[in-house]
Amino acid sequence: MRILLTSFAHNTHYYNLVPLGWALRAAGHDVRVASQPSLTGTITGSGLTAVPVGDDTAIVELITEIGDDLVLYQQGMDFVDTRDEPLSWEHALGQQTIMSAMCFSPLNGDSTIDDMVALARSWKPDLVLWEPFTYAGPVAAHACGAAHARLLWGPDVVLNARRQFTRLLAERPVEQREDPVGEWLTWTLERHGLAADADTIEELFAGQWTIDPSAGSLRLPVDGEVVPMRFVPYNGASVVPAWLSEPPARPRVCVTLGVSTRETYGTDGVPFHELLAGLADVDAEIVATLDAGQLPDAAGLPGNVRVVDFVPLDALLPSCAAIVHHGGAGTCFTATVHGVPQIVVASLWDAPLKAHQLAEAGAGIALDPGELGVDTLRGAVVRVLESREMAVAARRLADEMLAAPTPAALVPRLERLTAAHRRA
Amino acid sequence: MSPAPATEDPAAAGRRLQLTRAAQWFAGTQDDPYALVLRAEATDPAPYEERIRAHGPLFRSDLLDTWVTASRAVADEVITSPAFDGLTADGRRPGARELPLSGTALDADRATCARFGALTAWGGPLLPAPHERALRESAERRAHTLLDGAEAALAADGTVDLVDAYARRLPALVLREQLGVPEEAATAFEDALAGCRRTLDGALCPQLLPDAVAGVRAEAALTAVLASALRGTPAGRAPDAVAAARTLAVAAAEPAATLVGNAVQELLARPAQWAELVRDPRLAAAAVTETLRVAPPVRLERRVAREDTDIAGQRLPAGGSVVILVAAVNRAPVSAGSDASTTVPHAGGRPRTSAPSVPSAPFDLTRPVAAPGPFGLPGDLHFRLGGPLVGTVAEAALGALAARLPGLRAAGPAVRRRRSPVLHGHARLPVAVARTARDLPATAPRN
Repeated sequence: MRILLTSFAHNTHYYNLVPLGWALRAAGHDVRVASQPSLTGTITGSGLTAVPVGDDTAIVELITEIGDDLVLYQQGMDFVDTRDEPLSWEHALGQQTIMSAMCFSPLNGDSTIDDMVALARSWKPDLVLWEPFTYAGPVAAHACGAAHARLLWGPDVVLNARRQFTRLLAERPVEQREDPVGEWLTWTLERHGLAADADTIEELFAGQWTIDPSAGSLRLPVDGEVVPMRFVPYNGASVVPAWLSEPPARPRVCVTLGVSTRETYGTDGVPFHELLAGLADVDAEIVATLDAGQLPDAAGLPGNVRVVDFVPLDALLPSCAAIVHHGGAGTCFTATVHGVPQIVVASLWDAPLKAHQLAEAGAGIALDPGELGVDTLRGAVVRVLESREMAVAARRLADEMLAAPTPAALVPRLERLTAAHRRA
Repeated sequence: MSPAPATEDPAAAGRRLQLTRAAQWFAGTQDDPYALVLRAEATDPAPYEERIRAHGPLFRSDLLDTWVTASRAVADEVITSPAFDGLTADGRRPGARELPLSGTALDADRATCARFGALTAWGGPLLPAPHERALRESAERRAHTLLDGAEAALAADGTVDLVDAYARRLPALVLREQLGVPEEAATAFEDALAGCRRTLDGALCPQLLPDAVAGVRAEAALTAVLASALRGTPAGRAPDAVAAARTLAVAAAEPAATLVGNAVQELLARPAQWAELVRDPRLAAAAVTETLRVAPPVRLERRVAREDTDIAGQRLPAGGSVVILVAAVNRAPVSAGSDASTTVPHAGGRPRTSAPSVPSAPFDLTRPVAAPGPFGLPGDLHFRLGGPLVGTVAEAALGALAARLPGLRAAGPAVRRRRSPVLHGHARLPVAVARTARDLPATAPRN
């Protein structure tokens, strides 16, 4: 088969696709990765074949318009609430309004979609696997008749919110209905001469099926076929440092902001120097993955803190008893699959929901960023290190992840699904 | 006349409209009450308007870069001061870039509207009715004709949409007659005029892309119909004739329809008041005045400072926008300088939960005429042309309705249009007629 992987140009969003891309390639399929040109080096660095499409104009336009603090505009998305009924129409419409204008539409600019559709029409893939924000993928698949599926990097907040939105939409008087994402997908399809009926819109929104690496008990209720897959970490091109080969003398705690937050936003909003100093008397080795910009004065830190610029979490976390992180996709999944209890300081997108889920499962602690301070962080770290139950709960979630088929084992099922969904 | 905006790249316009809407939505999540007014998801925006009043006579929405007032004194100053106008000093509508495809029919400043006004004065080339009474009598005849049809529809179906069958059609018929649009162009004219119904809302609130595109096409169609109708006529010799006719038509049509719809809703919600009107249809004028006060058809009026201007203790820079909350102004105490709001305490500049309940006198047809009257359709811009027609047509509509359908009642919920913070325009207003004497209002005459 010809398989096109698509991700907008963001490394950690792309990383989640890589192990499945390898598995499909190793099974003999022809695999290419389409993204905006700024991701080309990252794609080739992962050993897969890149096809640059479009440009970053739309996202640059958005940044120019609203400033570079995209995080700000995610306030009020509130996916934690979406798990509970009843959700108000106004809240659901607000989510769709912000998602369409601030996320889906700028990440899939016209030039990106145009090139992606042209690529699909000329290369004729059988299957398009898409990162869940990268709607250029399903639009291109629809244009050429390929099967298409999403590969999730976290709880399916987008489809869960969509399900609740469409239900509330149907209850509205017809003159008051509006569907921002549907509106955007409609004019996008129409630009390519494609009909945009309601079923098509929902299929493009959801994918023909969804590949989900989440721990099974943390999945949100959504419609459509869900295909579980074991999460296999890919941290980017990595080198294991020598110190990691020594077993730690004390429990090890990883403190990280995640690559994505550091590289995208450049700031922490968290006084790291003080937070780390507050962990001085905890009987643990603290490994902080911070760069010089985040921690200008590493010299003044306590002796139990080891500062590293980058270390592959897949190599580090098996030796850790706890991790403190921001709730980013790769970090959270990697910690879960290694059974490490997590202290999540979350504000972005689905991260508050993940923090809430982990706390509910007994496998972690959710720390509101507004409450993050020396005492609360220290208290949380001590609680995790002293809790046998939390370690057991974290192990249980890891076992759920490991029970799902690996990417390699999933390949035959994807072949069957593709054959069933592809238009001849 | 401003050229119609380009529709060659609807995707780019759609993206911009969505981004503007998302910015308004985001400001609402940050608890900006003006953003929540523009969001227009609430059935009754009064609580948000009162939160704005609680900030003082002039509220500054930082996120939406707009000053907003619920104060009569400030509103009167903005409307009368030469420092404020409808367009910037260089002739632009504020926010036009953020709101592509939003219609240009009402983009005229005071000087232009004054010039147009010479053409649309009573007995003028574009408003041949010699005075208000003549227009009202003509509108009443049209109203009765429409009600013949409405009665037939009621007899056949039991219910009728009062907006679609009456409130929106009557102003269109009157405008067509006054502007001399021939019978063969009647459908084109009415369709185009109805297609322009989002113009007032679109100037402040992004419309859905298909609605916005339809509005631009309707505006072009309306221009073409009017140009054709005026070609070769004495009225058409004036260089501004088509622009003036279009401004008059768009300014009058949907506000008149909304005023009639709002009045009917207010009256039917108070059967004793409806019975009063049925008993004496001459109270229609009072019904119009009361509706302008309690449920004004145009709830938001935006003006732009032409120069740096001090108002209500704040300095507005040239180009700064002020929005008047018309309904809230009418709820406020009348005398200048006594706004209850200025004394309402609030902590931290965010009086979120403690919106004061400003006593608002209920709708009452027999209220003694107050001076000054309600803050209604201000006459400094396009309503200088369309305003008199709005009130007169609405009066005729309500009088005829009470005379012909005394048993009128609501038949299901009225539905307002989405994204209509300015008009709160009706999508539909289903009504029925009580069939038996027992269902009639107690004091209604039997006929």
